[in-house]
Amino acid sequence: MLTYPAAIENREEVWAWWPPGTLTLAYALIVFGPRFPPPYRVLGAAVLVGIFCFYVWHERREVRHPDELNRRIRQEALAAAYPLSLLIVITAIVGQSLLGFSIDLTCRALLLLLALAYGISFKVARERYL
Amino acid sequence: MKNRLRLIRAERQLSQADLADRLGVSRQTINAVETEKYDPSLPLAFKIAKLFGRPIEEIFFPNGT
Repeated sequence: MLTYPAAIENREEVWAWWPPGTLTLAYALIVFGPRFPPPYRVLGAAVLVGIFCFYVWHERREVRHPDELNRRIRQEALAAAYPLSLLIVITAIVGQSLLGFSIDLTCRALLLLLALAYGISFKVARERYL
Repeated sequence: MKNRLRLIRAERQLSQADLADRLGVSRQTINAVETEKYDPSLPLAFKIAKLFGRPIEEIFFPNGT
C-alpha cells in the first residue's frame, strides 16, 4: 500500500538528530561552562570532549552501516569534515601562538568549530540525497 | 541515471517502506533512488530487478535515453 504522501516521505529525517544534538550540548557547555568554578569547568570540558569523541566514533561506525545510502552520507560527511577540522586546528594553533589568543578561548572556540565542522559536513552530505 | 522504480513499485502496490524491507535497505534509500538523487550500487540495482522480475535495463537507464 502507498501509505506515505511523497511530500512527507521527502521530509522525513531519521538520521538528523545526531549533529544538532551534539552541537546543542557543545554550545551549552561552552557558553555556560566558564560560569562554573574551575573543577566543574574542567568536568564540563571533559564531558564535551567525551561527547565529541563519541560522536566521531559513532560516525566512523556508521560508515559500515548495512544501508548503502546511510553509508554514503557518512563517508561524504567524514571526508569533508577531516580537511575542515585540520584547517580549524591549524588556524587555532596560528591564532594562539602568533596572535596571542588565550589558551582558554582557543580551546573553547576549537571545540565549537570542530563540532560545527562535523555538523555542517553531515548536513550538506545528507541534503544532497534526502 | 534515470529510473522507473516509483512507477513499477506503484504497479505492485508496494510502499517505499515495504520495498525497503524486502531489499534490506532504508526507506530513505528507496526515496533517494526514486527521486534520482542517488544511483544505487550495482548489487542493489540487481536486487531490485530480481524482485520485480524485470531486466535491469527496464528499470534503470542512462540520462540521455
